[in-house]
Amino acid sequence: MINPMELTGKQILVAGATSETGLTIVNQLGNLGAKVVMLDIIEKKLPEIEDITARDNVVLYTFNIYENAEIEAGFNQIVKECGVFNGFVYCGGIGGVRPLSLMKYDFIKNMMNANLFSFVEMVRCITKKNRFANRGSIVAISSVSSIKGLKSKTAYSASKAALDASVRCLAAELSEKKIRVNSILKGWVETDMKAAFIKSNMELNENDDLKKQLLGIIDPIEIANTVAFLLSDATKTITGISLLLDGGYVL
Amino acid sequence: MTNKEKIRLIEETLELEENTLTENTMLSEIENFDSMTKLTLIVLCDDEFDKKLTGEKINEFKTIKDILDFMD
Amino acid sequence: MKLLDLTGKKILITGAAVGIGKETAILVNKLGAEVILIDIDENGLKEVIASLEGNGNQFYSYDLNDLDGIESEIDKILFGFGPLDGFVHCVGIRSRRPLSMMSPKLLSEIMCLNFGSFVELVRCVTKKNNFNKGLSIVGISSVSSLRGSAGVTAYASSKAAMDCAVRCLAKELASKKIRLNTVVPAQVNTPAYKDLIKLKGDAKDDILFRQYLGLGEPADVANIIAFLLCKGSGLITGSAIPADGGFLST
Repeated sequence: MINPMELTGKQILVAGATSETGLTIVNQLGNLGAKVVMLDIIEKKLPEIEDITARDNVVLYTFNIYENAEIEAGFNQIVKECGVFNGFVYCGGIGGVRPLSLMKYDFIKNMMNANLFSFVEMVRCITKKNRFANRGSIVAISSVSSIKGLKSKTAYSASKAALDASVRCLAAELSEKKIRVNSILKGWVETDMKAAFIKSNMELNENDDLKKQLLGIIDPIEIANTVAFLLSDATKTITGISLLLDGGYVL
Repeated sequence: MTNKEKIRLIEETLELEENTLTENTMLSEIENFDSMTKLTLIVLCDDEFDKKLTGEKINEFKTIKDILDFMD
Repeated sequence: MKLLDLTGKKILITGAAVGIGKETAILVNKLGAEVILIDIDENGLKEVIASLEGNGNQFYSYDLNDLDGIESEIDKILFGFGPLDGFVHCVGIRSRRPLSMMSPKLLSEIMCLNFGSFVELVRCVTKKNNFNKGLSIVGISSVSSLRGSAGVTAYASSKAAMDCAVRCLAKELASKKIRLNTVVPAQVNTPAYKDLIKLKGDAKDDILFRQYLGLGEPADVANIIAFLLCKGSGLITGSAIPADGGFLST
């Protein structure tokens, strides 16, 4: 049987890998035959993380992925110890809501740092000479907020829009090395419902935002599958796109 | 911060004239008291008083006094 | 009834010493508005002011990289000038750098000036008493926001952030009767463009090539900005209006 999303023989770096979505991605990429290198800032070693890192095709590195000064050294170490990569997934980042009246630039800058600057810096580091395979693939996790305006989500949405713009530019720039760069615009995911600020915001929302997602809430495994799709040879000539994974939200 | 000062802070944050609000003012009577206003108050509680007010909780509040009590 | 009429309106324009900002100042003034011009280039501002009609126009030299000082500056300025009917943001720097020479620090600097100053100014001018109902805000974006090309990651990200913020803030501020939009030019004949050409030398300008109506003039972009400031565009908000000579469509 042919599996167009086969990842055997590929080594994939996943940054921000210990969130629930991140772990789901790592697990699925492993199931598809990839060797996965996980990278995240870890506060405590949860059992779910222990389980996944126990697999023999998974390895974990920890450092503060949002501390830009640490990224270059961290990546030097990872590449030295692991070798060449075929794929890179960025599922790090932070969320948050704030009305304009109380939004000073510090709040925005923090969001931009975690959702954009770290991503670009990591791409810069991983695509240095001889580190990233020819025909490699990069995937960033973005959000429908990037294209649809919501009240009080200016900082978060703008950081995701900036991320998607950077994906387009990096796709153009890295096409010379035949490296593809794409993002996924996810809608509401099951795991989102656990974040305190999201629950709170939902409780306030006059329009039922979740109802706009016609096919219902998204299972993290769907994100993992879409990531695998974009990493695989099945999408050899897809680059610079932001793939909607939103259950019909933007319709 | 005294209650009077807290009320003034709320008035300023919501861009209301001084002395518009009292402890007994019903939230439902406040001009344009919508989801954005509630979110603004949630963020204010976090920024200034380090208290995590949720959407569910604020929907239970009836008067300004309820908010002042929460800020303590 | 004149479609473009800004008689008696008060408009703030940043980046008004050259290019699109300058042409916008001149045009809205011709249409009857009083303007406040902000730029880091004081001499440039003086020249522009001297060419305008009416006695109420003002200029301030200010470095918009200093985000922390914006609030007090704007409060002070508007206390004297009066509440605004329009705000046009034409400040921004282009940057061209290969990925290998990018750094978070650089990304941050460009994001701060191009995007951070915009949001902070919007926050300040939309404070109570700083604006009149019907306030229209226009930011200058770029086709780079929507189309990727090599070397412009920092610039493109900052413009995409602006377009997105406009979508969010348009919804958030609608109840205060405030509209926000961006104008999306491709290549426009400004001093910044002239510098770019010098840098490129003989190399082809891919964007200009696709822009089949040819190089835009700042006055062309100013026309669209003026329309967005006028009542006639009352149904337009949260939008990115192309002023791109056909670039995006082909």
